[in-house]
Amino acid sequence: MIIKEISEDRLVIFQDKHTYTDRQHEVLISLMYKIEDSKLPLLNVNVSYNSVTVQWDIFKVDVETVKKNLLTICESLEDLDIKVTKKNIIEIPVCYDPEFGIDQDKFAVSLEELINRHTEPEYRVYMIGFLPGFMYLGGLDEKLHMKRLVIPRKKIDKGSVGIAGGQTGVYPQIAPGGWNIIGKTPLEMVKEGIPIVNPGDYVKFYSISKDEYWRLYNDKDN
Amino acid sequence: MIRIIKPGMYSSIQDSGRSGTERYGQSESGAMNYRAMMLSNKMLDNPLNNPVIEMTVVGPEFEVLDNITIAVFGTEKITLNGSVITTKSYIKLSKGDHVKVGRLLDARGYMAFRGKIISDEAFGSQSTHSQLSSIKALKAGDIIEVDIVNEPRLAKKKMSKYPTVKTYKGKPVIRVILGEDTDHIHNLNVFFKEPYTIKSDSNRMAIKLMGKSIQADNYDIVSDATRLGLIQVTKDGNPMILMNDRQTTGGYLRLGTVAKIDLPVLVDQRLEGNVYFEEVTIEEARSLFMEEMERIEGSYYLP
Repeated sequence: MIIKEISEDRLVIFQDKHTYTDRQHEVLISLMYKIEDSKLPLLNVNVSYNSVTVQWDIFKVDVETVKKNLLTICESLEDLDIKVTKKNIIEIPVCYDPEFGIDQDKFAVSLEELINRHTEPEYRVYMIGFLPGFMYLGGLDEKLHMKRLVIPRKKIDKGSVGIAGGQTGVYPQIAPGGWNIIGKTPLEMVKEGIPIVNPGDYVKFYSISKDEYWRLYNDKDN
Repeated sequence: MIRIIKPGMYSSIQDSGRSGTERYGQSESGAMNYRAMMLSNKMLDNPLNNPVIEMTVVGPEFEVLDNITIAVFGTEKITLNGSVITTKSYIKLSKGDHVKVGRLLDARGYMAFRGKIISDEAFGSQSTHSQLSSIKALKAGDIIEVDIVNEPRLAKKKMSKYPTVKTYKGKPVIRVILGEDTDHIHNLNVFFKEPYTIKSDSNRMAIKLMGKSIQADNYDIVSDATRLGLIQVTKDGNPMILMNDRQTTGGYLRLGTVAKIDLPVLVDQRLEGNVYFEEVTIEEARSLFMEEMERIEGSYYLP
């Protein structure tokens, strides 16, 4: 692990590797939680594909103390053989009706195949960002890779499930965006500001009918 | 209490922002000019991080519903019941008064109320986030409630010193900590030599710049965490500085980070104004910021 200062109050911890495996990411997740549990006066601890960013209160503790503490935490982790043993899987219902999946035509597969290929994987959540509760997921079927729209749409509905390049994800709120929309979920992805998924979780989509979509949509407790 | 008649260009309640929410995809928000926010509170003997109203280019017009005391930064005068009055010290307002802040000197201004604004809180902060729905920017008809403090009596206060701004050819120089991806940039010297213009579509999410194009071998990075003041270079070669309501992740080239010491200067610049950039080390940026905080909290600016 390498620790590097990037601004007055932030430093980044990363692995000097240019591959992104679930196992490597799991190490970062463990690191993130261990750092959060430390006694340091921290403002933010974020995980991304290949790093953990730490923001601390520079008025409470100096950079050398922070680095020393983080180094100790990193070393304690390297002793462990971290494996993805228990998957926390969040199931997300998606209605793939063409009325919602407005960009389905672009894919060179039938609707049935699109649904099968999209609902098959357990997608790992690498990070949350872009919008509150927006998930960066890994593991999309190669047959579903699709370039983002040349001209982004001004407005994409909340709950829209999209694909951009090799990524798939859910718009947790109305937003402009260039993703190809293949369906919609009635699930609230963010509750009182807190996303229902965390980095390190897995997401599995399952197909629902339009009736089921509206039933869940109208059920405020979903 | 006050009732907003006209909100101005973009006015919102801001304090020192929130922490711990980046992992949920939510940035800190908070006052863009932390110095003006803190000093406006200091003028009223408030805790320095109390919420204030952040104003943009044109301030609000409002009716006063209770006797209150305010401090205004970012303009030299406001209109009270049709007469122009100075903002050099705090201003006592009476029930029924009509106040028009009008055009600000620069891009941003701050109005503090003696006591504390009562408004919705999320994750320990009353700050509005322009990209989120729960706390909105001010609009006509909004009522701002204040938990008024009258005692002890306030001493008259005036700024005894003003912040110094380094300039080059009459334009402010903003200090920058080099970023992670400078190896990919071919003409970094251009960024630190040429003037850049603040585009008029800049806002609380980002300050967009226009000037000599930054050439790079690759403008895309694997999406990663962003930070306040991060200078990204987009595909058209223009730099863009991420601000308080930024997206928490981004996939553009990271040229550097604006040093916190110079954020107040940067956010005060008029739209279409020019700025220059200069390199600073992390250590220096850190000590400059800590010294500035001591000046704000101490008696340097306000005795």
